[in-house]
Formats: sequence, structure tokens, C-alpha cells
Amino acid sequence: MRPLAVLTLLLAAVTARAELREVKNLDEIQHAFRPDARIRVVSVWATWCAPCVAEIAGVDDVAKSFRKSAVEIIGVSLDDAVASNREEGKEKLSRFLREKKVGFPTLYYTGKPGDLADEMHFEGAIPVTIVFDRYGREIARGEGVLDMKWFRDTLKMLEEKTR
Amino acid sequence: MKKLALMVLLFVAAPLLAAELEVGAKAPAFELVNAIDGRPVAFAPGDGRLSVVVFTCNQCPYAKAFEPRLIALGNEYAKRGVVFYAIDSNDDAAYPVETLGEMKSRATSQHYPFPYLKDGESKVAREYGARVTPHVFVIDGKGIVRYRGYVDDSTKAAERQHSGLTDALNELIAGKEVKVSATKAFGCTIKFKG
Repeated sequence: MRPLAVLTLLLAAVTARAELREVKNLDEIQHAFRPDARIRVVSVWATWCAPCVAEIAGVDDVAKSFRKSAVEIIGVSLDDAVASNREEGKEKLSRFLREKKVGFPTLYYTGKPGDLADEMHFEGAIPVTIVFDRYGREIARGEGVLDMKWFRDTLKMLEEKTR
Repeated sequence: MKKLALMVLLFVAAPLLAAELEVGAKAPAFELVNAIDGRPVAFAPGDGRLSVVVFTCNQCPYAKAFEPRLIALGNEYAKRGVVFYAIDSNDDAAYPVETLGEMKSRATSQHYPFPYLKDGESKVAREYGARVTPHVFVIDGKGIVRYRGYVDDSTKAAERQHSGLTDALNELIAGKEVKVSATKAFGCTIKFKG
């Protein structure tokens, strides 16, 4: 391989990893949304969680269809919970996001999973999807694998109601 | 916006689960096959022994991250008279990695110092109200649940701030009350049969 190609690949890998912003609590997650997003969806998942991986393409489709709206979907990865070290966890997640072409932003949670479950009031399992308004108040939630029709319809309805 | 804030939409895809066994409740008895030797193992709460019932499985990365810790604790606390029971309640028809054969292979290769029991109908998990793997219950010699929840608050030793299981065991062995008797277990959902 030519040096330039190697350099490009290296840069791509570094950039992908650098894009993964670390968050350690719900407040930091809330602050990651666009200021103009009226409907803020937090999707908590991990690459090690089979049901999460199964629904990720569906969530991505929904995120794409709401791209030019007041709805913003942000993923929060709990990959750190089982990673032997942070860099390895981030690398694995970056690779997954690249390979699956996940378009919505994903944050890398570095706190304790149980603390996030307490803050977001979910049972101790993922995936979990919580919809907040722009003031951080919860308005809907889906625990377990999402029914994509419910998810899409709910976001559409909320988006229309807040116009 | 006010109207919107009042509106709460709920969607729960998972089947409604039995309530988690409360601290202070009498633990249910069980008799299950040990994958390691194919023989039944019975737990009779109130048998005078401090016991740990841990719901775990073969497939969950979060449970696997706690496996070395549980093995070490099983070895350490056996010397202090504590009996561990590891239970796999996942539906092995839907998840072939959870069959008795796969469990045996895992338990023997990892040198489990405790029985690895198959709860094929997920009955024991339902009775305990276990939801995830790993999910731990500590039962005193009288058969009363004295701690339930996580093993530790982190899979990483360096980030661990609370060891729910060992704190409870140490306090009970010392004849003390368990200070933190309930924590929120986190992990993969139990793949219930039926």
C-alpha cells in the first residue's frame, strides 16, 4: 500500500474515533442536542447488545426521515460498560458505526450504567429510547426493542404538535 | 407546550415481568439440573447457610464481563461457608448457546466453583423477579433475601465504587445489617421462555 493511502486510512480511523464525544451523565447528554431541536430523542444502546444491534438500522431510518425537522435523535452507547479499556471500546464502536453507516450522532457514555438507568428511570436493560422536550422533560419512552411504526408515528405527532 | 409536557406516552415491548423479590421476603426454593454433571441441585432456603443466587447466562457480554469476578468470589466466599448458585434462565430453544451442553462447556472451561443450573422454563427467574444477567440475590440462613441487585457498580475494578454483593456478604458474615440492601441490576434482559 502506498504511504499516502496508509496515511489517509490512519487519518480516517483517528477522525472517526475523535468524533465520539464522551458524556458521563444525562445533563451532558441533554446539552449535546441542537438548540433548535424541539423533540429530543435519546437512544441508549451498545454494540454488545443484540436487540440494540437489531434495531439500529430502523432507528437510523427514522432519524434520516426526520433530518430536516425539529426532531433530533442522539444515540448513547454503553459500550464502555464491557470494554476492557476506553480506547478499545471507542474503536469498536467507531468501526461499528462506520460499517453500519449509522448517520445519527452517537455519544460515548463513560459513567456507570446503573447511574444512567437511575437518572433516566429505566429498568437495567437496553435498548431504551426516551423522548424529551426542549426543556428536558420526558414525553415518551420505549423500553426494549422499538416498534418502529409506533416510534415514527409518535415523533411525527409530537413534531406536529410543537409547531 | 404545557399540554405536551403533561402527555406521557409509554411503549413497553417487553412482556410484563414479575416484581423483583423484595429484601425481607422469603426466597423461593428450587431444584434444577447442574449443567456441569447433569445432576439435580436443590436449594432449600432456610438451610442455615448464607447463599448467593446469581442469574447469569452464556451469551450476555455484560454478564461475561462479571464472570471472572464471580468465579473469584465463589472461590473466596466458599471458604467462609457461602454457597453460590449460578442460574441460566434463558430460553435455549430460541438461543442454542444456552443449552445444557453449552453451559457445561463454559462452566468447565472457566472452572466454575459453583453449580451452573439450567432454569429451562425460566420459572425460577420469574419467581425471583430476576430481569437481567447478572442479577444477584443474597439469602441468609433463615431463607430471607438480604440483598438484591448488581454484583458491583462497574465491571472495571479501577472504577468500582460500590461492591453490592461483597459488602452484603461481609456485613452478614459479621452479623451486621446490610447497609445497601437493594441496587439496580444492569445487564442483558433474561430471554424468558414462553
